[in-house]
Amino acid sequence: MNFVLRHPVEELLAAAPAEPALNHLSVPRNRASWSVLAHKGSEATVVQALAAIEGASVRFCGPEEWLVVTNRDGAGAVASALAAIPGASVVEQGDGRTVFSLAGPDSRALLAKCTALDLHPDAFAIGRSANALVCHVGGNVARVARDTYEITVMRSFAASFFSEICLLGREFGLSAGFAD
Amino acid sequence: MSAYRLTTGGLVDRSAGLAFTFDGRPMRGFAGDTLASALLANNEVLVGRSFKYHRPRGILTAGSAEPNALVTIGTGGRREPNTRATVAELFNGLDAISQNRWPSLKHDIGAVNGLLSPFLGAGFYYKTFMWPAAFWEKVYEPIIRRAAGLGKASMQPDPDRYEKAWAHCDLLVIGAGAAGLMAALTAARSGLRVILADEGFRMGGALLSETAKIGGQAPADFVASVLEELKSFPDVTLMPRTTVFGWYDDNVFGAVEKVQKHVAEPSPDRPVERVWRIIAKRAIMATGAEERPLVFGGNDTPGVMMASAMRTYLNRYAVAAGRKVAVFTNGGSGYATAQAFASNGIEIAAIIDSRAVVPDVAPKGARIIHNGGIVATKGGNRLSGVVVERSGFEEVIECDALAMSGGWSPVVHLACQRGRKPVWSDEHQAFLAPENGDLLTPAGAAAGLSGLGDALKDGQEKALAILRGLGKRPKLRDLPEVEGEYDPAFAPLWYVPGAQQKAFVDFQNDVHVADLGLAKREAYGFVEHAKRYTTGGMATDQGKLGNVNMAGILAGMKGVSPAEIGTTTFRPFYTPVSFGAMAGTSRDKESRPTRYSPLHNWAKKNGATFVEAGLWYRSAWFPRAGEATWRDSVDREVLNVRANAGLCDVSTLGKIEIFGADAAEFLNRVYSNAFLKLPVGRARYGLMLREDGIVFDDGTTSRLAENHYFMTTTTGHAAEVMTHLEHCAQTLWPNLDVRFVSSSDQWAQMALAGPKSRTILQELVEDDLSNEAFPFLSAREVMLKGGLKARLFRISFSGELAYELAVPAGYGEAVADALMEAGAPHGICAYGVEALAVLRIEKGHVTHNELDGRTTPDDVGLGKMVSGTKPDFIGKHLAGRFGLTAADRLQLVGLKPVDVANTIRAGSHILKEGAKPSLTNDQGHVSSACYSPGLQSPIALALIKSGRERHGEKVIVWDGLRNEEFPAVICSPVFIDPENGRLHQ
Repeated sequence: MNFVLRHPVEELLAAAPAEPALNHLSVPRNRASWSVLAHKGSEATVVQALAAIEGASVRFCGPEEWLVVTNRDGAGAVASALAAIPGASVVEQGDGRTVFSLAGPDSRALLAKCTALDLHPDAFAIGRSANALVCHVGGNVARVARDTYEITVMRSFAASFFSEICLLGREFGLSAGFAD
Repeated sequence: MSAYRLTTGGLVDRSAGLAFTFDGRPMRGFAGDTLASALLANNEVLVGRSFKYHRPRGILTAGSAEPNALVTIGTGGRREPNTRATVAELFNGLDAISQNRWPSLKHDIGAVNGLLSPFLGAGFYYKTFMWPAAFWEKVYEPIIRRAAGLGKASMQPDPDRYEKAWAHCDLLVIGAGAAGLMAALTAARSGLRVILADEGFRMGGALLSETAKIGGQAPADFVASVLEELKSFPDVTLMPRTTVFGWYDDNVFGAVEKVQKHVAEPSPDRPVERVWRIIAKRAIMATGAEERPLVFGGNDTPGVMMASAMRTYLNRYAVAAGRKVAVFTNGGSGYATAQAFASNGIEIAAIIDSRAVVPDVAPKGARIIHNGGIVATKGGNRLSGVVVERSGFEEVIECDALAMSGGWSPVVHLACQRGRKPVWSDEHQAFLAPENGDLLTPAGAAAGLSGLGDALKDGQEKALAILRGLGKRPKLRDLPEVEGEYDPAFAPLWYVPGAQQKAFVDFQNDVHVADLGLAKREAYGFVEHAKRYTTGGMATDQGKLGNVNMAGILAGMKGVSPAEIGTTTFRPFYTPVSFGAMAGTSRDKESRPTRYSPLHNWAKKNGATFVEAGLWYRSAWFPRAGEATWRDSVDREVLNVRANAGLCDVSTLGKIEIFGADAAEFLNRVYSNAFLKLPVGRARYGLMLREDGIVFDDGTTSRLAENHYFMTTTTGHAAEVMTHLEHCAQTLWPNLDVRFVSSSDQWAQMALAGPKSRTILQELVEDDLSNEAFPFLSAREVMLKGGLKARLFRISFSGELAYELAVPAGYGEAVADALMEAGAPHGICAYGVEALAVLRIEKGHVTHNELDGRTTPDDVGLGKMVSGTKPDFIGKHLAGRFGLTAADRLQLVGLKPVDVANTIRAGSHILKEGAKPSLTNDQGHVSSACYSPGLQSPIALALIKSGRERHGEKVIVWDGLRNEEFPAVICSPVFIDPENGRLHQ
């Protein structure tokens, strides 16, 4: 049997424009992710091991907890690397978390309407991430480039998040589309 | 009063004419006008009627403290009542109507209230409408509401959008007047992240109303050059049209920005208002000072206006408030206003000064009456003269406008919103901001300073102090010199004696001096009591003008200093904030986020009717052609599950992955039943108690590997259980090696129930599902055909042979489709939560209908799930206390009506036969009820006193809401398959 993967905002994005605007919300379908939990006394070694994994980004979610994000095609290697970390427990979350990538000159101004995080470059440098309320739902915000942020929310909230950020983005002419 | 627009001057754009209407009459103004300045320019002096007596009222101020000029702006869903015309930015097409009058502003029948004023004094509500009590709601309140009150809200939905946003800064400067601009500039030059917020649509505050020269520039030019420099810093944010309304914990400020309140047709791409939460390391309160009205007879006649407001209309808006202006003052402001009129060639009728000796300079040739006071005014809807009294002699002075100035009160509201009271200063004759440490610093006029030069200097100094406090090196620049400023010093005058007419203290609420006297005589002289008794300081202006005079007058009556009277309590909001702004995007359906199951689309394709369950949409039932009611669908689904098979979406259950060497011990402590010896590959039903021994939640937990467990919770308690586990792990037993994370959204979970479920499932699953290979309560990872890994649990809520299959959420819809296809030859159907409920009631399974926060495990028949051998678990110690073990507690039973035509409804109460409904006679209640299509009878679960001993007893089901009662028989709560044969087949 061949089961087809379904993305949680598929129906909402059907009518979206193909051409990205200056400010654009891109929705990658192919993200894989894992929750990584460090057991007592292992935090330092887990942090070290996570930093050494290639082709994945590590998002801070709370004390001794991270979300590791990568693309589905490289997922196997990352999963094995994670499984080999001593003192860590790993839970697959690729289907439970939905990733949105917001890019554009007004991305910070738009996110100021979504989250209480201070996203000034001095306070939230590239590579930083944090769990916070984003557009009315709980999520993780990561700065991946100067004007690019990745927001990860729980799958069941993805449609709500998507509608809200699109509404708030109208001021900046935000467009949205699948990335792949 | 005859107001008019000057041909030159001001900060309005004469090339940009704007058309607007007032009470339907077309008028014109300019860009840069407020509605108030445009009304004055059109010689509209009467703009409203007062709250209680319907007295004619004119524009009193030029700012946010305005008590009189409240109008309704807009039409349809955009109609906004009680808008202060003095801060409403004029736009083309603005429609304004006056309020609180009928049939028209000039001829108002309600003004007869004024004749009744002896009966409408302070406390009249409490004295007049006392009895009969039943009259209050039906008779008195509607009459009072119709007679009093201001504008009326639109009953149509608001077509506009609102938003919320967050901002962060090192320094928030509140107010862009002299002190605020200088503070922001000093901080910005030294590299701080600065936000400068001002309620006005044009930044500059009082500077825009003045004519002194600053650094050789006109004030407006000085403001422009400062703003230009501020804009050059990347970390400076200018926020005009933004009122900082509240100061909250952690130095968070609430502010509301008018984004599109000044356009006729707002763009749907932007909000009309936006609420900001500004998180500031430090803040400077440069909110200026409010000029005090004078309390004299007839001080509310249209044409009487604050002296500083008249200067603002003249200098900023180029509107003269009259052609022959009198001034009544106790300080320099009155003289500055007289100078401003004189320099525009407008006649000064007289300057009446309460002081004997004055340092201020009057315009050349103007008549000054020292030691004078006004005791009455002439004219009804429009001022025509004032009655001046000096040394016992009265004189009528003709004039068409009167400027009054009673001194200044620093605007200290924000500094007093977190518990500290303002402090009286004899030196300033005013209440000053309390000491708040270095988080919020008053500057300029808000700090009690007078004069432009002092304000500029203070703004700079306060910013320098903050820079030093934050460890930054300040960059110093010279202050600009100020030429031609006046001295606003004054001598206090709380009340002008000899009033021949009502002397108003609070204009908006029609509180006059006699009301305060009455309040004091009737023992309501304490300032908080006086406020409630007289209504002084309430409604939209919150006493911004009148409260200080109220304190001064009460002090005078008691013969004490205003320091002993104090002020009423300051609370957010500084000015009114619309409900729309506070709701932001969270309105109507979006008032909370919606959660969608990964099987939502599968359910939709199968025709589901959805029901809201918390944030979730769950499929309730799946109607088919020919089914007239929901019951038809549910009955069919139930019968089909019992006869064939059904598929139900249970993805909404909470799911938690638990890891660690001590995970078993952890579970053993959070559940009341034993978990230490659960083998790998097995699931177990678990019951969690609260510390007090009452059931908290139930669910299953499966051991997937030696140190890996998978817990499910009820949909409703998913978040609470997670929080509970966090509390246990972090606070109660930090020594245990256990970690967990929610995976609720990772899995699409479906219940496949019915005698044919194994046959159907086997078509998708590679692994052997025979009873021997996968017996009841098995739980392990399986492989689906096509190579998809899944988790399979043989658990049952329906009492049938049943499985729960969990697949990665993205594949949920495809797998559910495949199951439906594989099951079609076997008669599979989709079933919803309603059928699920019937199935579980028939089987006697409990949900939160029974686990309602009052029941113990024993109450709901799960007493055997409380381990007697475990050394400890949550709830153990309090579960045995007196009362929780009493023999007459409510116990779970089944219930069947004697006559199957009687529908049992949840919530009905149980009575003994022949007993009258009463608390004493109450035997318990129905917790869950349904129609069982298999038994062809209504059935129910009920909690009944000593219920387990009473099987077979006939009782009465009493529904007090519908006034129904009928007999029913108590029975076992398990209606089908009590031997559990089907579970193990």
